[in-house]
Order: sequence, then C-alpha cells, then structure tokens
Amino acid sequence: MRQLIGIAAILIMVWVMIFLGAWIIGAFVVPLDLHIDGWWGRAATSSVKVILGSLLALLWLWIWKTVAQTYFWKAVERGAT
Amino acid sequence: MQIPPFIICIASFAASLGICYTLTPKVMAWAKRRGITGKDVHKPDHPTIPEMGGIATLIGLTFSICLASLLDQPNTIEYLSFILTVHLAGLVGAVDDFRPISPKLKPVLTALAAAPIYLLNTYTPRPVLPVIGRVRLTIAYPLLLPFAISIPANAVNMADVMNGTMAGTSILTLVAIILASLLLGRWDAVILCCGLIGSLVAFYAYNRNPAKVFAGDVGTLSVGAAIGAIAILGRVEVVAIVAMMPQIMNAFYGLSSVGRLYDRTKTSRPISLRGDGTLVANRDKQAPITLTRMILARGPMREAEVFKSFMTLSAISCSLAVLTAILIWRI
Repeated sequence: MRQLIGIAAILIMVWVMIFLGAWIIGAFVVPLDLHIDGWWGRAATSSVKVILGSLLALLWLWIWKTVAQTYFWKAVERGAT
Repeated sequence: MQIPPFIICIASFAASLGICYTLTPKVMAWAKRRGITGKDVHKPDHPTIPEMGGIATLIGLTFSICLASLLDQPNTIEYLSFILTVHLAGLVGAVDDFRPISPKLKPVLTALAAAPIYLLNTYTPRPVLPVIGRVRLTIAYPLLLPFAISIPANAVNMADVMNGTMAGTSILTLVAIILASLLLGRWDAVILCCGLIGSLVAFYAYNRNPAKVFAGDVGTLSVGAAIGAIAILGRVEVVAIVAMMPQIMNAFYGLSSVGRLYDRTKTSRPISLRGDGTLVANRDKQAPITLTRMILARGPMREAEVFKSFMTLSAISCSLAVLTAILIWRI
C-alpha cells in the first residue's frame, strides 16, 4: 500500500484540478466579453473563449504529466536505495 | 403496462451474467481449436491462453440489451444506438485480434463507432459540469462525441495488462456510474450498466488470476466503448471520466512519456518478470511510464499484488466519482 500513496495523491490532485479548472472557466472565461459589436465581435469573443479553455486544458495535462514523471523517477531512485 | 426500472435492471444483469458465463468456455474451446491464443507473459512458465473471450461478453451484453429494449420500449432507439456503437468498436477489436491495426489507425476507427449515436440523435448536448452546472454545447458536444467513445475504448484496452484488471476495474467504474445515476435519477444509464456488469462479472470468473481466457481487443474495445456510450446516453460524462481515471492515467502516462501513439510490441517493455515470479519496473528511459510501471517503481511485486493496487486506485477514483455526482446533484 505504501507504493500507492503517491499515485493516489496524484489522482486526487488531478480530480481537484478538474474542479479548479471548471471554476476558472465559470468565473473568468464564460463571462468574458471583448465588447466588439456585430457578428464579428461575437465570433471573436467565442474564439477567445475556446482558445482560453483549450490552453487551460493543455496546462492541466502538462502539470499532470510533469508531476507523474517526477514522482516516477524519484520513486525509482528511492526503490534502488 | 410500465415495468419498474429495477426489475429491468435485474433481468438485464441476470441475462448477461447467465449467457456470458455459459458461452465463455465455448468461446475458449473455439479459440483453442483455431489457434487464437496468447502467452501470459507475467507467469514464469508463460502458459498459452485462449484469446477473444470478449466475444462472450459482447453476446451476453447484446442479449441483455435486447431484453431491456423489450421491457422498456420507450427507450428502444437509445438501446439500439448503444448496442450498435458497442458492436462497431467490437468489430474493430476483432479485426485487430486477427490482423493488428496500426496504433494510429485504431483510435480513429474506434472514434467512428460513435456514428450510431450521431445518426440516431440519442445524445443531449447539455452536460452538467461541476461548479458551472448545466452548459449548452450545441456545436462543441457533437465534435467531442468521437473522443468520448475512442478515449475510453482505448484506455480500457491499454489497462488490460494483468489477469483480471480490465474486468475488475470496469466493474468498479460501472458501480460508481450506477450510484451516480441513481442519485441523478438516470435509470436508462443504470439499466445499461447492469447489462454490462453481468457480462463482466461472468467474464471475471474466467479471467481472474490465473487467467483461463483473455478478453482480446474485441472485449476490451467493446467494453470501453460501452462505458463511453453509457456516459453520453446517461448524461453522466464527468462522473464517468472521474471513475475511469486509473485507466485514463495509464493510457496518458504511456503516451506522454513516449510522446506518440506506440505499438506495445515495438517499444521497450515497461515492466519485466524476474526469476522468482515477481514483476519489476524497467529502468530504461525509453520505456513508456505506464500505471503498472509506476506501481512497481518502489520495488518488485507479484501479479496478484499489482492487481490489488489497480483495484485500490480504481476504488479511490470511483469514490471521487460518486462525490462528484453528489456535488453536481447539489448545484
């Protein structure tokens, strides 16, 4: 079970980040308005929202990958000693 | 006369359990006769095991869904789209079992299995997200549908690494989806889950350590696609994602560490078997960092211990999935 504590912590971190990401999107991305009139303005606002949402998702994946890989190589080092 | 949903659930579960349990030995005998076998590489003597046992789970599930469709006629179109999606994914898996498909083409082909859900229009593009609540995704949701089938299908396929892990973790995932669906009042999802659980429980009896049969890609891809389809049809998308985190983690770690879609037979193996029968994480920097390799990072373990670790992580993520459903329910 000792081996699982680190992995379970990553699992819980990823879950908390889903909620954090949803809160950021709900609080900052969804209400975003570029204040540009006409269809062009609506299209630009929607595009910015999609880009920001995608960037957040990529940031989430990058943090997840970095934490998991760091944990793995540290655990391998600890296992070797 | 309207039949109570819990009766349909019990009938669906019993039908798939009985059919799959009876059919699996026959599928095993057929696979042996045809030479459709694989080596159990995590056992010291590398025994030869019949593959494609997933055909029995697929047949059991099909019969149970047909029965559910007869008993719950208002939802017949929904059941039809579900079973067609599962069969399309199973077909991709069957082709892959006979003649391996390239690792880049397989996700694309499994994504096409979402076609019946599109064509029969059985999806609702208004998912409920945590914190935000119900959102309207009229354009984005249909675009995401192929991923909602392909990702779970391939994640379940990649999680079939030890005896019993695919069936065991999928059963826990489905139990979490059932609890969440009951809380959110989605009986259609509960009925579909019961049909699939029946098949998986029966299959697990033959696939647990030491395995007498392997599911093959026909089984893993169809089970994963079924979980994805249940998430869409039952509108429990976020709950399903959280419940499937160990399988998704396993696939994501492997892909992100190698940097591309890879063929398991052409990359350095993530783990190896020692002379004493224990499994150990490979130290090769080029090998994919899978969940099994992470579990073994601190030291060697027996296959049964790795299985228990998978199940423990799955139980944690399923608890988080139920907690997610409670948080969604309170919005």
